Amino acid sequence: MVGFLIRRTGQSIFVLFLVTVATLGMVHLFPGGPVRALLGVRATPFLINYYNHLYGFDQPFYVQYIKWVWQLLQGNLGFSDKLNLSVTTLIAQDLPKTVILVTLGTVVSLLFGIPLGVYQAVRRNSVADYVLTGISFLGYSTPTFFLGLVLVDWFAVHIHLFPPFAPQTNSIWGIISDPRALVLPVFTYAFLLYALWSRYMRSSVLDNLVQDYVRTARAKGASERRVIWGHVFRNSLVSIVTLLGLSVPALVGGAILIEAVFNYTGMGLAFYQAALNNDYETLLGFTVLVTLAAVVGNLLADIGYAVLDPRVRY
Amino acid sequence: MFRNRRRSRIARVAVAGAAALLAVGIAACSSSSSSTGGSPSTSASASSTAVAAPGGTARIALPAGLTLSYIWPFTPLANANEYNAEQFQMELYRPLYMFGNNGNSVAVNYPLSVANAPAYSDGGKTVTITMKGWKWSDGETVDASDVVFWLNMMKAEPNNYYGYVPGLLPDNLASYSATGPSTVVLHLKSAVSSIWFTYNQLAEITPMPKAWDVTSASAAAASGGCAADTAADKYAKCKAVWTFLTAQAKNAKTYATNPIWGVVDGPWKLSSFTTAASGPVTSFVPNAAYSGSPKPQLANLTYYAYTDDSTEYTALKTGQVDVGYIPPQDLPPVTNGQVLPSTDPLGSNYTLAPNYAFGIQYFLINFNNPTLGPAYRQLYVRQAIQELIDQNGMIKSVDRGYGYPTSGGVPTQPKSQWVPSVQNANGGQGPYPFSVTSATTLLTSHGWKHVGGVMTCQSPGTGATQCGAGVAAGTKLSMSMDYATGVQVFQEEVAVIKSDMQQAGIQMSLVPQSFNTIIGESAPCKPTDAGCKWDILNFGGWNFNGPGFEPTGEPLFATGASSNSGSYSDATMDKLINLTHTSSSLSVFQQYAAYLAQQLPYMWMPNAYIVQAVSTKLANVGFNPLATTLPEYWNFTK
Repeated sequence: MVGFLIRRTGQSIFVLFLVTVATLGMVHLFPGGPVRALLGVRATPFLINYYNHLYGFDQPFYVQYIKWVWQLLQGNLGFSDKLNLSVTTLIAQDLPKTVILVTLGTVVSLLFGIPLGVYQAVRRNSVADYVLTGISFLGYSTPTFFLGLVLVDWFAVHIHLFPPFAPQTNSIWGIISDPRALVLPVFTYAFLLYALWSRYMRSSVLDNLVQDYVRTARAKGASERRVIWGHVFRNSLVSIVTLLGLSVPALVGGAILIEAVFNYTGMGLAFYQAALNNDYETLLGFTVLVTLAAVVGNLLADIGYAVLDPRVRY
Repeated sequence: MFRNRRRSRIARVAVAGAAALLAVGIAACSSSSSSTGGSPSTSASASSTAVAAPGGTARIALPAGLTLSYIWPFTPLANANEYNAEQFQMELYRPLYMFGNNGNSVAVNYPLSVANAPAYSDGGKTVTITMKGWKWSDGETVDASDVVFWLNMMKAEPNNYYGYVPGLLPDNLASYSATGPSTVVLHLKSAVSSIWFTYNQLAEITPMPKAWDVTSASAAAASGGCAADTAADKYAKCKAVWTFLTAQAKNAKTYATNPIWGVVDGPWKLSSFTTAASGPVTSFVPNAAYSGSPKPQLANLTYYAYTDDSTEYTALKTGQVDVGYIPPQDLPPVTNGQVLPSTDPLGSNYTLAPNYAFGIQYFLINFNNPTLGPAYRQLYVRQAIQELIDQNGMIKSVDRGYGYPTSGGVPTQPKSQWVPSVQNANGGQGPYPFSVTSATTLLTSHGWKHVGGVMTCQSPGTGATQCGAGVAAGTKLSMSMDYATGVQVFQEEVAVIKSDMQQAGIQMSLVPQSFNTIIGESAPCKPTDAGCKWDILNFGGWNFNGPGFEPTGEPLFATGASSNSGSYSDATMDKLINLTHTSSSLSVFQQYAAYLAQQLPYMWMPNAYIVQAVSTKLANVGFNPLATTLPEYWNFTK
């Protein structure tokens, strides 16, 4: 395992290197250069040269890269001139909001998706299975923003049952202590994921139910409940663990459509606005963070396999 | 300032423009909130019989996707926009001269200014400014040294102020000084127009308090020495003060708590500020020490940020804001000269008002395009192209009636004495109304013929019936239009334009580009440059919203101007622009404006306005074309 971790760490560093080089390189692909993109149509050639020198864009690419990486290693993700705040501050402001939304949405979807997926597999081809499958397809095929808008219109604008927006405060306590305002955005986020988890779980349980060890367990007199929850369930979680690992970047990447519909600026919208506004400092910082999250997520998924399946050893 | 149509669709970028002049002097605007002249009213008020109820919190929606980000009026270009200026900084720190009012005036507003009207003498080479003696909230007087402080800062750090143009303020000052506690005298290098200098140069000045003339948080006021600095030390003291103040300005989280920014002379002071991009982001409370009038009646003013038009509209529908806008896609079409819809989509809880921007909308042609540049330089070709732009048709079909034509380089809304009569011709379309027949005739009478459906030059030469200088035989009027994606209105408009162009044999291919790409392409270029192959860029317009409130157009139409992306160049235009800087005669400006409307350096496009919604409980809310926001006039009603 130690060797595995060392190898994976080496791979991760290489991936980070490639991504950072590509990202910094792409900044220079802004038509007219990053400074013109930042300053807009009023930029004069003199001002462009002035800011190119100020930001070091007139230096060789490798010099810029080394300076930027050194800055990153010191925890400095850059300063957004467009927003007039450091990227670190922006992340500290928006990341908790995204983590809360994504975590709650994921937990809710798992709480429903996994047990219902198991139920559907055990009761496959029953009326309940068909109904739940239909709900899954509905969740999977409904555009997230559409669902959000419909929920807002029904439950907030017309019925006034819930607020139209997610909590409008930036403090974690303020967000958590306003559960009514979290209902609609969390439900919107969870509905799509529920479809994902339940379908994967159903398939995985069905695959495992025909395995020899299940026949053996039944032959040895194990109750159906023990067979399902004691043996099949754990083995069926492997695919879910994979998906969970792949969804870790969403913890930092955000859920842009839900953020937009519910007026809840998290990492997704912040990244989108940065792209629209040519805010290259923010784009660079966010890209590094999301890449890191993807690398860590994959690593956690691999470790999770080893925990779930004793046959998996690295 | 440049206006991105995407932004202006949802936000009033409006700015600057000179309003009616009564004579060579400048008409002062009173604090009336009602409209003037023939322009539609831009006020939304509760019933005039309603009784005012002092206090309350007015909640204002910011345009979707926008936040306030920079507090210091000495703003760098990267942070310069009308929201930071008119809706944030000016609430706290009054400029030397204010423009606009709580209605639709675009004139200078002396009653709201911290100085009296400037006095010009010595043939326009000397300007005397007399301060009114208003107070900062720390008890100091807004005096002459505060003005010199600003000018010295411009001398020290011109590249870090967005309004700086080489050769103009402060470069055009031979000398300046505070000749008394309340008097500043500027000596100019050459005589200037009193109108242009007041509207476009003095408008750039915001007096700064002595409390800001420091290099550390604990330093005594004025210890930085910038207000007394001179060229002898190359304004080193001002550079040090700039460094300190910039560091404070870059710490946005402390705006509401930093004592530096708490020294205000405007009607409001900041009570809270967040860097969040949604929810309540900025709050103001009345400045008890405000010397001007009227004093705020509201207890609190809060700006709300929204992620999207739909969320802002949801906020209106659920009564969560008092002042907002209805997204264009949620408005029913209007016809027959209607300005507002017959039915209020928000019902009886809100009243509606139009909000015009004092600006122009256009797309750019590249006079230096290596292939078609010579053709674009022919006025008849530009006339033909303009006559193929069906502005009224696009206003009806794309803007659904909420718009008006741009007919020249001077905004036509609100009506003002700046607008030359030629721009009002043809129902507001200007000298070149939509006409496929006329456009086709222009081309065919100059040696162009349909070849394979595309107008092709068959008669090269410089004669009256020939294609024109530099236009080679066989040149086809086949061009590409790069337009900014992400704005539905653009997509619909360019489709209409392409179709109409085709009717006259002008082949136009549409190239959707990100706004970033178009910004990059918009740098003025030479024919031999690799990046000079674009024909047309379509990405927005321009609001005369500062710094520069008289629409003299030097940043757009003068040879070599930084925003003259198409590299238009005309000696007569340059001469006329320069004349507007030195002559205070309205007829000189009119001559420039008429020539501009006829010359077509840009192709004019329809101009849309915003429909604002105001809670019926909130009275005296005006929407100014310069984006000047004056909530001190607003009040709730019982």
